[in-house]
Amino acid sequence: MYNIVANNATMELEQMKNYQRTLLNNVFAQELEQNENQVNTWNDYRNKYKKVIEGLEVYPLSVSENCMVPIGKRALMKGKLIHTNEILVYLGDGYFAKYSASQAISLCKRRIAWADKMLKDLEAERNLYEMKQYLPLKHDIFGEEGRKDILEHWNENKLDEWKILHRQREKEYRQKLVQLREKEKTDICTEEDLFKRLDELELEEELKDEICRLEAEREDSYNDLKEGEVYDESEEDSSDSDEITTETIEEELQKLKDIQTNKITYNIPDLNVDTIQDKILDTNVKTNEHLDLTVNSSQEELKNNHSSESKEGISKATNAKKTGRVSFIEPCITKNTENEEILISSEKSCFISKQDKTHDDSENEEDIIRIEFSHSSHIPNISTSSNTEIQSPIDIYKLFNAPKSILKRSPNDMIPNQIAPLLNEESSTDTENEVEHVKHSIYNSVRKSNQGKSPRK
Amino acid sequence: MTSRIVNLFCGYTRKGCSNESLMDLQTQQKILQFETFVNDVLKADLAKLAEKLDVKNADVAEFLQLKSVITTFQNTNVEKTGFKTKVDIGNNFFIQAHIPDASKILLDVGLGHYVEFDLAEALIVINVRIKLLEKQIAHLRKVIARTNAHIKLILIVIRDLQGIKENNE
Repeated sequence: MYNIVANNATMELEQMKNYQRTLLNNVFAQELEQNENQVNTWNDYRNKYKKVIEGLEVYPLSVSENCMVPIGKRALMKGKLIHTNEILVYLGDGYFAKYSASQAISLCKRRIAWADKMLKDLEAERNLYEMKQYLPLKHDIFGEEGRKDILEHWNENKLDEWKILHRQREKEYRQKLVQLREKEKTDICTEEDLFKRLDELELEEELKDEICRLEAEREDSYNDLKEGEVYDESEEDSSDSDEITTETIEEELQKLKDIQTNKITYNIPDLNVDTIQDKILDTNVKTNEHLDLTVNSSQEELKNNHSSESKEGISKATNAKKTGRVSFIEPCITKNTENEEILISSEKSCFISKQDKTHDDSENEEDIIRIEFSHSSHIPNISTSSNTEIQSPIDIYKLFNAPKSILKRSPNDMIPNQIAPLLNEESSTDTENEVEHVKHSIYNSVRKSNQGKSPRK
Repeated sequence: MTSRIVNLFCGYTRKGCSNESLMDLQTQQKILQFETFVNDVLKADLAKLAEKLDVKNADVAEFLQLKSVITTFQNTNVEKTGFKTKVDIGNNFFIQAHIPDASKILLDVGLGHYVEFDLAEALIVINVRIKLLEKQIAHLRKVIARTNAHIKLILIVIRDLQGIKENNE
């Protein structure tokens, strides 16, 4: 039933549409017909005037012209035209004007021009109607109902205005950027700011590294767990590890400070450090043994890693730090260039895998203490900061060990040495004593390296 | 004309009485036929006749005017002195014309031929023409009246047919 009704409705709709279309076409046809009639009348009018002009051009040439004068429509009388240069023109509404022949001609021309204009308009009208008639057929305007009109909310003027505004804003933005940059530069130029910034960055860097390491490990465990283990365990693990990471970070932070305070004490006696290192290595061996025992499956290993981390995260951290510190101290005595290399590698040493450590340990069991550093598979996230800001040790290396130009140094520019004397003044202004000491030691080493290099070049 | 109408009626009466249901159909058909006949033939004829009548009347008026002009010429003694007039050279542009000899006039005798007459002769010819035209007009009037009568008759017939139908129902 509904279908039929719907069909009927659609039929009616279609009929309506057809009716509308025919109506429209009829209207257009009528208009076109009218238009044609008007065109014809205007053409006649125009042609008549042309004929009149022809007559007016001829008659004034002679004084009188023989002609048949019409008396009504049905009769003629012989006569002649006189006063051929006096033409009485009917202006309309019962008024006449007396013109000379040339004036009459000009009047005719005016009227012809007007007729031409009217014809032009009529042609335009006809084109319009024809367009309207054929457009629906051509573009199928009545075809579908789901079509939408194209609306342009933006015109070209608006767009231009917007472009101008946009340019202004861009300029302002650029200027602000430049100002900001200048500010930053000036901030860093003062040594105090620089060193404060350095401290912050160093701390940040170390923290970041720790977090990165922990996260990497966690990710590894996660991936391994996904292979075979039950999800519950993995989730517990992850939650545990999360807690651990936060704990370890806090602990490590404390350790860092401790180490920094201790550094000076370690600086002087080398033996002391060695003994401590041995102790720590021993613990390491223990842990590694523990690991070796439990290496049955990768998952278990990783779990144990976690557990060992949780248990001895602090010791490991200290271990890592101490190895780093050892590297700090040794080069001070031996070589300056090495010092810096180890500075960088010390960061990497944090990420040395367990296997490497076992290897180290096996060697450490002998009396000769050799620490071999090898690149871990982990890619260290060394931020590639091209600025003068020092965010990581490698930046320091880059800053102070930049390849120097072949050109002879003029006495005016002392770029590398400029910073060194400034650093001396800075130490007194620093608020934190602990950090100050550390700063001093780092600074000393850096300066030494510079001094060591400068004579070579 | 009348024969056509008679044919129309004959067709109806011959076939009409055989069957009632058929008759209904036929009456309907006939009504339609009558209506079309009235609209397409009789009224068209009437229009044509009316047009013809108008033309004749205009001619008569022209001739009457000419007659009066000629009589005024005769009365005012213009035929010897001549007169001045304005000639339309198209689109109401007038040039003065002088007619020196008003004793002769050329009359349109039909098919674009003009014959020169004296004023008196012209009057006679014009009178003849007017008489002829009046006869033609009278004839046309008759024909028009007849056509009107036909239209009226057929309308009455149609009304009768429809009235009968209504009575039956």
